[in-house]
Amino acid sequence: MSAPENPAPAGAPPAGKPPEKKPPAPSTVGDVLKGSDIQVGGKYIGWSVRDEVRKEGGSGGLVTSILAGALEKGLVEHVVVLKKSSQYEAVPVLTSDVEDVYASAGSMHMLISNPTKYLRQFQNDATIALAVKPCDMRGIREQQKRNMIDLDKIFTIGLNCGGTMMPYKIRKVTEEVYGVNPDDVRAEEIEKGKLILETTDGEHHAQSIDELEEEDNGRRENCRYCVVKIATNADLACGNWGVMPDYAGKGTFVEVMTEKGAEFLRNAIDGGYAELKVASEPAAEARGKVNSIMLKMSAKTKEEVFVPMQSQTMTDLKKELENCIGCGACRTVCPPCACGTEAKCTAFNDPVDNYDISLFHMIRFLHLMDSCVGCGQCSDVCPADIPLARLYRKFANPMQDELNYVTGMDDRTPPFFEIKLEEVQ
Amino acid sequence: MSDIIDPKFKENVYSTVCHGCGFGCGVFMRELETQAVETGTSCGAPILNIDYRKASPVNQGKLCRFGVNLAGNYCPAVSSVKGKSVSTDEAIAKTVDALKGAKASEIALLSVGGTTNEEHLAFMKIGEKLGVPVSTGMTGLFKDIGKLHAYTGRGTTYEDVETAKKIYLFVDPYVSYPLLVRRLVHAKEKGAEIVAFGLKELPIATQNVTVEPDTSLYDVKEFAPDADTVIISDLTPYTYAKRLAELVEIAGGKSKFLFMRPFMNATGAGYLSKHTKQQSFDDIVSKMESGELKVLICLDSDLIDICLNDNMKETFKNLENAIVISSRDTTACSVADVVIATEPIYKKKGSVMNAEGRLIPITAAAGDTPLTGFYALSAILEALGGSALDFTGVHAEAVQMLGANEDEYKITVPEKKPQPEIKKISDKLPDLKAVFSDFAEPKSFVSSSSKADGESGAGAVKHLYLTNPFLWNGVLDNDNYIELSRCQVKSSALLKGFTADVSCACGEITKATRFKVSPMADGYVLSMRKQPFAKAPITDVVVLRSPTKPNEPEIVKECNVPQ
Ligand code: SF4
Repeated sequence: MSAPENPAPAGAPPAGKPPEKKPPAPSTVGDVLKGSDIQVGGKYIGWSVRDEVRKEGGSGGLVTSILAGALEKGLVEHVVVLKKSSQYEAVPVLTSDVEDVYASAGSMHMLISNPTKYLRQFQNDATIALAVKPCDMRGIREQQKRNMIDLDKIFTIGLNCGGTMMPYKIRKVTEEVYGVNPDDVRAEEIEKGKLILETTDGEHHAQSIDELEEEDNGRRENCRYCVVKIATNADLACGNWGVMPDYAGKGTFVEVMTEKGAEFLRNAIDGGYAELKVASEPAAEARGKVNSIMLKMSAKTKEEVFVPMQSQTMTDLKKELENCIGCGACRTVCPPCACGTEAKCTAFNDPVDNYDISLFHMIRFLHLMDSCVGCGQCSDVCPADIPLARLYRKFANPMQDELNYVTGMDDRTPPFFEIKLEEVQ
Repeated sequence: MSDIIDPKFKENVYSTVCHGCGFGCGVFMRELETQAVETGTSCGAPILNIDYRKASPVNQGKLCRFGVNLAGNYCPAVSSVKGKSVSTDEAIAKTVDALKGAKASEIALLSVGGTTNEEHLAFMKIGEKLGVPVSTGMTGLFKDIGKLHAYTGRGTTYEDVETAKKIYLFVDPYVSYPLLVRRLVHAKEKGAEIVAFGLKELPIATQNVTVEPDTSLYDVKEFAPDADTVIISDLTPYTYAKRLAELVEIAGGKSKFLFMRPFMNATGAGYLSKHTKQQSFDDIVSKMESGELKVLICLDSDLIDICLNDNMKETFKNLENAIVISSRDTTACSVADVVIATEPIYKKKGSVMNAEGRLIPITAAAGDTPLTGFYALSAILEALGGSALDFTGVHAEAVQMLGANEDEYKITVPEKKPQPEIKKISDKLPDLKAVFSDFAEPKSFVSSSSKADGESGAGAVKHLYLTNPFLWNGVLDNDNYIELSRCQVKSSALLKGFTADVSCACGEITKATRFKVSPMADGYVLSMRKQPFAKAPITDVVVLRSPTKPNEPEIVKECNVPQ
């Protein structure tokens, strides 16, 4: 199996199918490129040169090839791969063995790993390559702004993301909504706004994502209003949006975002791991179009979720938080949180206090206003199922919208860091 | 050819179950071996971190405070004899000598469910060879309630809680079994009526009914269970038999019961040992006190941590051989004559059964590990004249004995025999005063620091433990305080910013205890951490204001600080 490839967007036009009947435009122009042709800002279509990787990888295995090349040629010491234990479950593991890279899991919409906090444990002491979703990369960049992750030590391949699903929930949906034995599912794909499950007998079972989401059975809520779908904040931004029918399932669209991204791509070409061609204009346009459809859908959901919350009172907020058991998991997983043991949210929070509303949460609402990346990890791990991501975004949206600040997308200084005491006075 | 010469890190990930309580939460444990980064651990362990197992049917990746900090609670045990570290083989040999040198009546074997079904069953086979049953610590309770025991079985799932119309709570889910909270939240969203019976008001409840520990449920008019009711209580070594009997007498046969358990595999161990003639905790402890017991082997069961009476450390010294087989360095390891160190829980292979009756596999997600615990038990059995054990065979036997389904997504309950007729026995069972020796009418024994107030009898209350994973596992948390009602604060003359002195009839005084005002019944004080002044589940104490200003807050030392 290939490394994780990009999930197609829910509700988006199918990859590789043009909207009109006229003959589809080609994905690429020109010949296969040399390493030296690769430039920052360049947009390409690429694939693995290895037959088996191309076959296993849903989109030509480009990501796998870049990671394998980076490891074998010593550009990094380690790669983070996904060890898959079932169709519904995989766990990121560090490896230095290229065979692990080739054997790692394919596309999984139900995998929600948390690479930001994961990378922290290495204390910038090793060079590591990994594939990330846009929100993963936003967390990593926020940690970098707080001097906790050194971007020079990591290489990131961003994957387009139309949304992820909770593994246990999708397993249950498979059984109860699709009427399929979850253990019989061999692969899953999102196409034409449908979640398609392929069973071991070769049958395809489809359900509309919109309908699944009406019953809260689809993507995680934060994914539905996420504002970054293409990981242009990573070294390379990869995905199958923009891949036309001639390369559908056989090639990956890649945009080079940084000089390091270019270097790794050149390495993959020169080392004989991957081949690339320049992406055609229509391919780039198609990619942009899918992205804008996704963003429009997100904006709509954002309104549906947050406009009613404007009338929320302190009493409502207190009610939302009343079942908090003080486990601290939300803070532990929070990608931008870099405070460690000195955190104000825990220092000012004493279990013997009897405040009407938890100081821990109040401090975090404030603290996350300029750093929440909207990844939803907090909601995922909350043992009381408090809709934390929604609550953090309720406070973060107005500030980030007002300042036109999208967390974790670039090196821009976080707004709170820019406040000067004398200005406040 | 790879250009990599010396990778700095090696990572293994294990799919396991949290050992904090019997809820059965799935969790990944990451173990990072490195020379590159200072581990900063006091016990020389590799860097451990948890990861959230979002496909787990039990907890969907969510964990309580104990689970979130699980990586910090894995100080590995070290094999030792009389405090000197030795090889595991030497510790095993010493154990075998001790067993050979004692009569069956002088030996006790204890396994409360702190390890896998496979290790528990292997331990039972040693017991069979010796003619000594493996005790799970619950026999006393089950003997008391007799045939009503049949109603405390497994089979009510957490999903049943979510879909129940009426839920009666006899545990504080926030403290004792935190992963229940979200199930109750979902039930409430679907319109369930949730009634909490106890001393403390719970926000999740739609109705809170004050029921004191010695109140008979026959006198509680709000306790009206029917076929739509799920009753959630727990079975611990301190469960009050009379209350349990009343629960079953009134609700048995019509309502569903979900009995939570405090130890990871208490349900599995309980079922495996079901048909054996076990010794109760009380039997074991009194035989230790009288010197009748010469050898005690505890398999991942720390009697000192479980016991509320901290004199237990001293009592251990009465044994000729206190033997601990343990996957973690717990309190008992520090006083044991022999410690057989086994691999940590997360490296074990096999299964555990949670409170629902779900058989959960424990498998290494990456790489196999040697099963030191299982094979240590096998080696002891062999040295005693038995045959060496085969893991696959023991696993199959355990699954068959449990009548369980090996798919963790499905719960199979063996076909139920007709339930015995419910006969009222609760009126014949001893009351609270007789069960817990320290339970007596409030006396005005006084704190030396507060004589003046104490003389008037002020501040006399009953202390109760709110049991929780930290308490059962002997792990400290930021819970070093007592809880009392606003009225009680007044009658104890407590002031914000000051602390309390708590004293008991036995003469123990704990000074400068922090306190929290909670919505709860007057006349009681609750604590989550083991307190020197409370050696029984219910104790009479006097709480009075400390004359001095509070100390600096306590800093909890952790073994292995998670990221
Ligand atoms: S202590 Fe119990 S409730 Fe908490 S994480 Fe562990 S198993 Fe789950």
